[in-house]
Amino acid sequence: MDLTARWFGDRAVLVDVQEPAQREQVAALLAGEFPDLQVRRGMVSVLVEVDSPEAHLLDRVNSALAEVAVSSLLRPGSATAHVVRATYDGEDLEDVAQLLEATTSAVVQAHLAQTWRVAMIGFAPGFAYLEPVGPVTMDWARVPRRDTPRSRVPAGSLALAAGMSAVYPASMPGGWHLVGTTREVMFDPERGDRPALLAPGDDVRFEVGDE
Amino acid sequence: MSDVVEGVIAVIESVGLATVQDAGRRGMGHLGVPRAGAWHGRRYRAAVRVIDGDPQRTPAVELLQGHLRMRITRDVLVAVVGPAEVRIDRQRAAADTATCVRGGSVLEISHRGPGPVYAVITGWVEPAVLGSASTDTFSGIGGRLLASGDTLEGPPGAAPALSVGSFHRDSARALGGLRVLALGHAGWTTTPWRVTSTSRSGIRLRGGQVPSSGTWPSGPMVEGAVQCTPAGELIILGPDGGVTGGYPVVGVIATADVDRVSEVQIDTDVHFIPVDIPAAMAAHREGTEAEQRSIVRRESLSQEGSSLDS
Repeated sequence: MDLTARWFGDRAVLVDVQEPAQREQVAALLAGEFPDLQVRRGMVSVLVEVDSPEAHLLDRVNSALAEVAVSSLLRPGSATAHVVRATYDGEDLEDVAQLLEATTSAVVQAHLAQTWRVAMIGFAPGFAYLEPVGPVTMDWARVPRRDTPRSRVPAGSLALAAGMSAVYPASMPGGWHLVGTTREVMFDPERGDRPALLAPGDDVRFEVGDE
Repeated sequence: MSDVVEGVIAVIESVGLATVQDAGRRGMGHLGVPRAGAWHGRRYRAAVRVIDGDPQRTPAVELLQGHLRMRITRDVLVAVVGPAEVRIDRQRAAADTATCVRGGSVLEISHRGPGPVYAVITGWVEPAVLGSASTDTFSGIGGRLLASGDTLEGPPGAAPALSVGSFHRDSARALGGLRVLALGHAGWTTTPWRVTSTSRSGIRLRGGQVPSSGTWPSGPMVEGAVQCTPAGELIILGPDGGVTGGYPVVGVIATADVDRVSEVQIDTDVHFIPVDIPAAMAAHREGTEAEQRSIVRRESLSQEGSSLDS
């Protein structure tokens, strides 16, 4: 692997990666190497951030990356698997079916059959970007963001956009297509050990049900 | 005069744009939780330090505009730092130092800009969410927007020792340019940019030389990141800005100047000064040293000023 970090301001460095497996590997390596630093994922990047500017940050991260290039350890993911119960009653389900040139029930079956993996958490507390992994059950990339975002998307909305799926953890503005709802609490600041239900690298499957 | 309710320290009577803030929630970006916290960290820490509080967790009122009036119900020390006019029972009072306010008094703080004003009050305690009392104005996590009728509360306690005298002495440097670490070509820093809106999530600017930027897959953001929208607008992310974003990042404000983003005023021009990493590190060191010098301890003065002890 030819990986190098670059400065992203004076408190952070960014590592560009190509694919999800590499992203998880790099993130895990850096989190293990620097437990005192903050390691965050992007879709195709990993960020290492410190509280105060640190002149040696870039060298430290690049040294760690050079070692992974040599050893190229590819550890199999020990992903946590979640089942999220959902009802496919979203306002945009018909539109999504048209975009995918399928019936709504085919879209629902494909969404249920798909394994999704948490690429990153962002946008809002507990908002997990889910990318399809394994056999792709439908061409999800054909569903873009809506032309006009909604000023308010209800909490628990199950959504699709940009080849990904997500659950809105709280009521907020949003531009994704809504295909369903879940009662699962995606983010609870009082849930001590795990305020965000999902963590990067976790796998998610959806099942029909409303609990 | 006072109908003191146990535990109530102050009753808010009128409000501009006032939120509860402390140093914020660091290290929670991986949960999607932004730092929030005081937008102007140096002013917040100065207010806390003159009353010998904890510069991480002492709650402060952050006043971004308008006017705040509080009925103080018991004897407290108050420190106000930032561009404000302070009155106690209609008499002008000092800012930038700790002032004893007697129970029953009315404390008024008028924002005079630019940038936030911080008020801290001894004995005031706020519940923490994810380790902080800060108000995240975007996600609504923690803290609160203060409104008329709200109270600031704390456990009943003895009146604070009235020995005060530390004060904050800022360099009063006018807002020049914002130092920025450009990512890629820095041509966009050569023209001024007009501020079209400001909020704790970010400030928006228009009218400069629009940088060319390609697509940017959604990725991590940091406070001070300068994004460029497809419409040619710049957004400088504030403390409540999202921890990820999909607009291309054309630069990141140097940490030494991140506080100063909060001083930027709408309908004014902002100039950017491109710096490299060594210059940003040096600016940070200088800023930290200046911050240490800005708090003057009573005991360090050869002459004791006792005018505050009345």
